[in-house]
Amino acid sequence: MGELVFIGLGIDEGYITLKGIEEAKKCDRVFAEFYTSKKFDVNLDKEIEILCREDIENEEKIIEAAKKERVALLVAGDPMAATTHLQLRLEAMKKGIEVKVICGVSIFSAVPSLLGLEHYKFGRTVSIPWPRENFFPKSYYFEIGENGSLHTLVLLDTEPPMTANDAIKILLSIEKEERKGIFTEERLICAVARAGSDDCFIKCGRAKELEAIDFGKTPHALVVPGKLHFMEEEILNFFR
Amino acid sequence: MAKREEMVKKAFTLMDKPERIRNIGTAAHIDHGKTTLSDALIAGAGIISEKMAGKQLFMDFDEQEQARGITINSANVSMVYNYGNKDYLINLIDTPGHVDFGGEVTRAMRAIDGVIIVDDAVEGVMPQTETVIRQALRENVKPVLFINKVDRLINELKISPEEMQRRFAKIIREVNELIKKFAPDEFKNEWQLRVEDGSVAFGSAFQHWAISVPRMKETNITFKDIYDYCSAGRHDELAKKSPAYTTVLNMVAEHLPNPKEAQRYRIPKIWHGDLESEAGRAMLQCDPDGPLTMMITKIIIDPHAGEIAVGRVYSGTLRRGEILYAVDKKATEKSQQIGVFMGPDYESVEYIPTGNIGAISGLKVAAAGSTISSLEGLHPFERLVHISDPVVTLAIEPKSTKDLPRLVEAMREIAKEDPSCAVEINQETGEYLLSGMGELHLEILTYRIIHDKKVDIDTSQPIVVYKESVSKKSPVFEGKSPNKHNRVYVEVEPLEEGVFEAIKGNEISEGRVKNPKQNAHFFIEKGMDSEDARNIVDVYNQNVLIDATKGIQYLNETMELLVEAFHEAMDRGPLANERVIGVKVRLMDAKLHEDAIHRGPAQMIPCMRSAVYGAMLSAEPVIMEPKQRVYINIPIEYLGNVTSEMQQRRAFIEGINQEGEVTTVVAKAPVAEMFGFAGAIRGATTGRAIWSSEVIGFERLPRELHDRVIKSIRERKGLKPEPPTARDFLAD
Repeated sequence: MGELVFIGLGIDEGYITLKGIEEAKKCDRVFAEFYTSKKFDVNLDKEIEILCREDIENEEKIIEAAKKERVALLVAGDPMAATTHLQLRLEAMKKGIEVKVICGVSIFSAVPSLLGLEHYKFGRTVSIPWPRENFFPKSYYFEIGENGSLHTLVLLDTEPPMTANDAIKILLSIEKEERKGIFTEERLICAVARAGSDDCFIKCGRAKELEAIDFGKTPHALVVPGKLHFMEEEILNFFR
Repeated sequence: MAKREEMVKKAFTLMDKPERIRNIGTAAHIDHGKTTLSDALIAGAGIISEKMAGKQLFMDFDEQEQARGITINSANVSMVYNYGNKDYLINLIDTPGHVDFGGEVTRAMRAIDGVIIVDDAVEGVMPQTETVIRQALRENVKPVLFINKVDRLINELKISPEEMQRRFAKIIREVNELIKKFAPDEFKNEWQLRVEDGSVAFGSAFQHWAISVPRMKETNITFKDIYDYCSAGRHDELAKKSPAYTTVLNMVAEHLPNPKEAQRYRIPKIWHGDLESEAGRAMLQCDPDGPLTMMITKIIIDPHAGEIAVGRVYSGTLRRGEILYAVDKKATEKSQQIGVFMGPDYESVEYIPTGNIGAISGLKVAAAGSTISSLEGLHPFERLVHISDPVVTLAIEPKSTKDLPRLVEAMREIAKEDPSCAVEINQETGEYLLSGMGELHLEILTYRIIHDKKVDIDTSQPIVVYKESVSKKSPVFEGKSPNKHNRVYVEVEPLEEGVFEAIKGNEISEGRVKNPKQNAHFFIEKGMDSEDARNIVDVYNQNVLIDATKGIQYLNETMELLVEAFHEAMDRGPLANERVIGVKVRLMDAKLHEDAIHRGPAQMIPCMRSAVYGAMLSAEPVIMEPKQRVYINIPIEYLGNVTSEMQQRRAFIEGINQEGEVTTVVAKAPVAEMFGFAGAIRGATTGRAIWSSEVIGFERLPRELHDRVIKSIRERKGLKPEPPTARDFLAD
């Protein structure tokens, strides 16, 4: 029986752990899923088989390989941060395949760290999909409200990539309709562009101010802070 | 023609006097002589010469119609008639009798208030006589009766005067029974026809004479005189003494309602808005000063004027150059020209007041059935009921590829002029598909593309349009989204027969159900369980989606996608990608990811669609084929030939009736087996058969043909020959 090793690549080039590289080198085959991330230049002295999104969802290819050999799957961020990989991990476990997880730096920890906000004071993370005909969910707006005094990390659609400005516009339009005071033009929010990269850009300000700022290339993410500790307040002032 | 100009001038002055207007039509079984009667009436009014009428078929002005001798489109003619020293403006619409063109009949009925039912004295009341009476009464259109071809009864069949009167009595009795059966309760008695009061007339439209009891008193002509004149062949004399147009138009002026009277009881039937509103009151009172409301019943594409929309003004006054709202299309347009029709000629006018039938050019968005108004938010008129969906399709391509854009335009125009046909581009094969009600209908449509639109085309063999359905209840079937984070649970079963028929007959509207709890009774009355009825989400192509779940989080913001997937599945069934009918889809449960990004369209549409397909394939799916009812009139000696011809075509003989010299065979046959029938029946009866047919809907294809038909449809569509099974939709 083989083995399946999930390896987190982190949020940008160079974020993979030494442990991750070591484990990957020990594997017979290395698959990589570069879904949301840019190209990761990892030198493993062996061929990396790139998978598209559908391959992960179809599972079979990886499971079949892992039945016989040691297989590594390189995943952007932390391998268990996106629920898709949990499905694959469960599938492997049900089939009696040994599973190992090598953690990585994820957007869930990177954004709070970069902003200096307390990790334990975050509520549920929400995502904003592009609205289209027959699909304009608003549940994420209400969930920001439900997070109350807790901060909310807001992730943005990737197909096509959504900018912080797009997301602010969408949230303001929902506010206009629902009028719950959850995401007003005056609300203090933070935007992080290209988290973890050398040209990472961080900005804090009122929603209407940030709506007009050019954040440059994607990926972008937002944070809607809840109740701020005075030290959190102080650090956010540096990003205004 | 001085008389014509004078008449046009009179017509204009009468347009302002609703009590002097009669909007009428003629309707009959095929070949009972509607168009001949219309011509006789028009001749009397002086638009064409009396001598020419009856030979010229003036109303059949389409070249095609004249060549075939049948009426395809309902033309409209306005004429002035003097009765009892008063001038009347009579707007006459001639409707087709061939039921391939049934859509035209229903549209014409919307524009008129009264109808002359024309019945052949030799053949009596035929099945389509019943159909047209039913169509008229459904729209609250009042009937009178003209018994035609009396000359044939005397000259050809040589029956006795007593026998003649017995036949008349039988026809009148049968028509009255139909009125009793189909008229709204308040008119079941009032609208009964009586020989004595002149609501029935007899005559020969072809020979230009007609008589009624009041006219007998005026002219001192007796039944015996008629018998003598006809026997002696002195039709011209009879036509002088009692011309057809006098007798029939007297009947029209006396017994058919004017728009003011008619709109009082017709508006609540055809318009379901607030009758107490400004527009509602104006329509009920036929008020020329109220807001403009008009329903378009026909689109004519004129080579010079472009699209001309013809319709009935129900309130207010239509003026040239006015801004109008096409309510159902949510669009605004300016009327460029307005006018009335004198046969093929269009007479431009400055304004058309309520109660008249008029034409507008420059309304590009309007289609047959559109509501036009000066009010933006007007509630639209009730949808026109079509008897059936198209059942036969042709694939069309231009002979030269550079004509493709012109073909697309021609097909768009054809579809607008004739809403009983449908045009479609098959995205997979790139074929241009034209669908209609039968072989004859498609022949005429292609003729129009070639001769009127001047596009040279090649056509495929006609293809039968099938439908898919299910024959039992399925187990609950699970559908998973591609990302595995979402699941829906669905079961399907055949839709209740009563609900299916009610949707088909437009008693229950299609579309999203806004207040399911409030509207549940419509469905319960038709036999649906109250729990289902209270949770209806959507009605689509005679299928129903029910939400049987309770309190599932995020379902509200996902439901639109599930409805979209339901539509996709109903548009393309699992067996052969044909449309689905008569299926009830019940959403039993759903498990949705809490993050919206994981339950978008790319996840939820395949998830729901595969659940519906899987459930359908576990519910003994069936192919439904279109059926026609065929009526064949023949001399008795051909009965054997006709029944054997029908039996070769998988037909079921429903009845054989003998009425005098005419034997009528009524049979139900699959549309698929009826191609080339016109030639075959002509051969089998040495041309003596008169036949017609109507599409009666879809029935299950016999089991033994199932596999073969599915395979041939799939191969034609470029699918793999074997249909999928439920197993193929089981998510792992």
